[in-house]
Amino acid sequence: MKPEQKKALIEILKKRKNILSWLVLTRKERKYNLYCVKNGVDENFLYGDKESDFLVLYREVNGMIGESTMSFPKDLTKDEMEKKIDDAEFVATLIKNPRFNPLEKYGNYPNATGYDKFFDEKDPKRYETKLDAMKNEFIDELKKHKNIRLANLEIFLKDIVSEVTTSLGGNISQRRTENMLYAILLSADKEFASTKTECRIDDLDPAGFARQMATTVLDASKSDKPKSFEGDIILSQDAILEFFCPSMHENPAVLHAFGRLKHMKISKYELGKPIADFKRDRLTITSNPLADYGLRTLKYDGDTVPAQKMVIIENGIFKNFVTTKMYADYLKIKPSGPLGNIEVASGSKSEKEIYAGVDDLSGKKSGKSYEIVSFAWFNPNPFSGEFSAEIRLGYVVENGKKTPFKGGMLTGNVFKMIENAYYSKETIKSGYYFGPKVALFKDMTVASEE
Amino acid sequence: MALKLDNKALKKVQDLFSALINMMEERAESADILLIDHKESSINRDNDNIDFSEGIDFGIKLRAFDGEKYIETHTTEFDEQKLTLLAKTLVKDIPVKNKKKNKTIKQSVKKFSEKCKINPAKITLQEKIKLTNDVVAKVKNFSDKITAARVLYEENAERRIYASNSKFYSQDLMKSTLVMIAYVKTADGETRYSYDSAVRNGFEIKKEVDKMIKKVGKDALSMLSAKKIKPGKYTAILSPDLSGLLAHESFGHGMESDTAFNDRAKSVGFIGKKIAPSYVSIIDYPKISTKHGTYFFDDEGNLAKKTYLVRSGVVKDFLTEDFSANMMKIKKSGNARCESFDHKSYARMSNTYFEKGKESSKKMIASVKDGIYLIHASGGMEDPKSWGVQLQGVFGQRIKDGKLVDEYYTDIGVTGYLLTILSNIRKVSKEFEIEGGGSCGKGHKEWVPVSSGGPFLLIDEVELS
Repeated sequence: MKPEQKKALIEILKKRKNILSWLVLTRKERKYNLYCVKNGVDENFLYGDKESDFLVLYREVNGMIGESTMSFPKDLTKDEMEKKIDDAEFVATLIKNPRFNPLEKYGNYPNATGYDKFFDEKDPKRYETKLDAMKNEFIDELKKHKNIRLANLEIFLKDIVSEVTTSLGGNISQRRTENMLYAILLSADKEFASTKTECRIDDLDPAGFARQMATTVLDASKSDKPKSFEGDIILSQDAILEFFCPSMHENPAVLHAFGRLKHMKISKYELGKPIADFKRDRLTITSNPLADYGLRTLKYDGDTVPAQKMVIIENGIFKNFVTTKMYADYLKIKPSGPLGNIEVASGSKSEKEIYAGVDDLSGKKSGKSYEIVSFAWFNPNPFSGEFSAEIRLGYVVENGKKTPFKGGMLTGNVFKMIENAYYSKETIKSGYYFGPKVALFKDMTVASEE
Repeated sequence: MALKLDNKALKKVQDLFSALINMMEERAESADILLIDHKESSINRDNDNIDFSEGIDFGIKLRAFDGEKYIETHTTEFDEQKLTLLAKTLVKDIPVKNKKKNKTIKQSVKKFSEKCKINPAKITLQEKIKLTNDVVAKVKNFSDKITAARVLYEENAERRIYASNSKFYSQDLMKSTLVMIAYVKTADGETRYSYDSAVRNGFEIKKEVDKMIKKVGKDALSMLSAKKIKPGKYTAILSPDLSGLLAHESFGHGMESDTAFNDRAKSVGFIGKKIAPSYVSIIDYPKISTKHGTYFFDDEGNLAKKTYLVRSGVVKDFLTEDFSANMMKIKKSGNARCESFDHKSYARMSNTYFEKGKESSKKMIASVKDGIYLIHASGGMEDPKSWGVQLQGVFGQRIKDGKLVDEYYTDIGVTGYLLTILSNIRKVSKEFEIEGGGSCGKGHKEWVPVSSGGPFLLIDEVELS
């Protein structure tokens, strides 16, 4: 939206007496993507800008609060803007919810850094050069490993700037960068795919990513199907990220903390009560939008509520809801601000002890475990926590030796898993996950036809 | 939509795009333009709350091929000056070779549109809100064991325009989608849910409501007693929804030409070979009417057509996008799709399904002594390199002595080796439906709408866990 259009829009909105409150949201996205096919041959270079603008308005309707959210096209004339706002007001008379206070004035907004300063660069050529350099770094590392071919490499760089102006006179903005490496490697007749997404370009570390993937795909090429197994499962690498930060929706342990689900009487959580019957390490999960350079480092949420670091679950006890302003008002609690980077507290065991199967409860070491480094797709039922996930690569860990396997299904329930878990003291940061490097879950089942 | 384009305005767009393409082709080997004008509105209603949002996604993609690779850029501004500058910048670094001037070709101009029975634009918002209110109330009233309900009503109207030096195509697509979810709580406090979805072109989707409520309510109550299945091999009957998911996840992805070109597709070694009984065929057809994955031409200007991935048991043709199709020197199927104007096009599915057979689904169930009827799933994952099958979150019902009995299973995983599963297809039903759909991703990104459906399938020895 051009500044003069925005100014004209705000002037119109201010004159509308029936509008209780409003927000004008602008989002600008700039991206540079490189796509390579097999052997690192360039297929496509994509770049460009995208802008979208929205108007959210609220009005009082017979003791209820009406709302509408609409795109606001560019280059409207004043008359067209008036008509668009008429339409939005009309919609708000129909879309009504029980009373809540949509907008409040808040204090200061935090100053966490969620973007890479590289994107201050204006010259598009610099991005093309950067992408080429990253591609070459990845491929040069691969060349050091025998029997590996590159099937696919994609590198995406993206800068997002959002701005909100509200009827309370506020005007705030935040900037995020999201950078991704996606690669598929082949070895013999097996493949391995992995994605890495980071706020800072340098954190992608193409050479390190290539090195890790190369080891994994080579192991995949030597792997057979596993035998069925009941016992300790260790999650590491991609698998632990997928467990705590699944791609389709939040981990059920976090999802049940959502205010909306509590209001719908779907969430099973009660404040101050344990979320499960913990027998080993107790889970602590914190939402942290204030950590620098996380993928979910944010200043505010869609209701302009300032971001805050907030413990969701502490030592297994449910502490705080993650909620929008509306549901916070319904639940008579403070709104939480945005769901930020997922911080999982480290546990009681070192990585070495986890692989050795040390168990305080039984006092014994389990002789054998299955380590899973990657799932085909970890997608637990969001409410029950049930899942069955195919294993893309794992290892039988026995007597200090690791034997790769591929296939089999890990079945279980997320809420049951966390009752009998050990988390490593060592932690990693990847994307929006800040947490244990590895985790061990007891009494798990891998089903296999072998 | 952002642009109101009558015939006169469309002609202006054609002229502008032709001029831009000619300019780009002074340096580029070829160039094309894709305009996407998409409007979506949705009403999301649960027990106590409702929200409405309306969004427009408008943009223009300019793409040039320099002889080796594509370069593309995009903008959300429909402004001749801006577009001209973008086009010039896009090709400025392509060296001017002794290029043969592209012959002036008369552009083929085609217009396509989907029709609906009841135009949603003529239905008031009040009526649409009433629909969602009524659905939530009826789902909740289906049984006092249903603790919560949610409904999503969504309308999508889209115009896509593709232009190259030889083509100027436009298509107007419209979809109305209805999704219903019913939640129940088991005796030990666990929340479970059932859902159903339907897609139609227009507000005629309202006619599906009663049937959907009955299904979602019945399934929700069945969820209360649903257990985890004992891992093993079972005789299974796949519902149309499940058979569509099998066709899509387990076979379709492996027939995408970009996957094949990158040496990731096991199917490459099986072209022309028999992998299933003769009564098994798998088709991708973008033009099948009124489905979630329907379109008339792809995002590279290739007209949509029916492609047999498997015909009478034999592996046949790939689903293509231009780059890999040209490299592999194979015929183009019209399956290049991008998530939006600011995304690259990939080879993607549309409406992918097993071709219907001759058997009666009732007789199929009657023929099973002990097995499982697999009803719906939350999704699946492809494994084109190894032909592994993975379908997740499957809800099933026991078949005993030829009858469906009151024994239900939830969160079933279906796995196995594709060749084994296809070889074990014993019967394909004559009953056929493609009702719902979802979004298909490529590497957990690049989402495009696809449908899910087909016939019932009876398959021996399916691995369930």
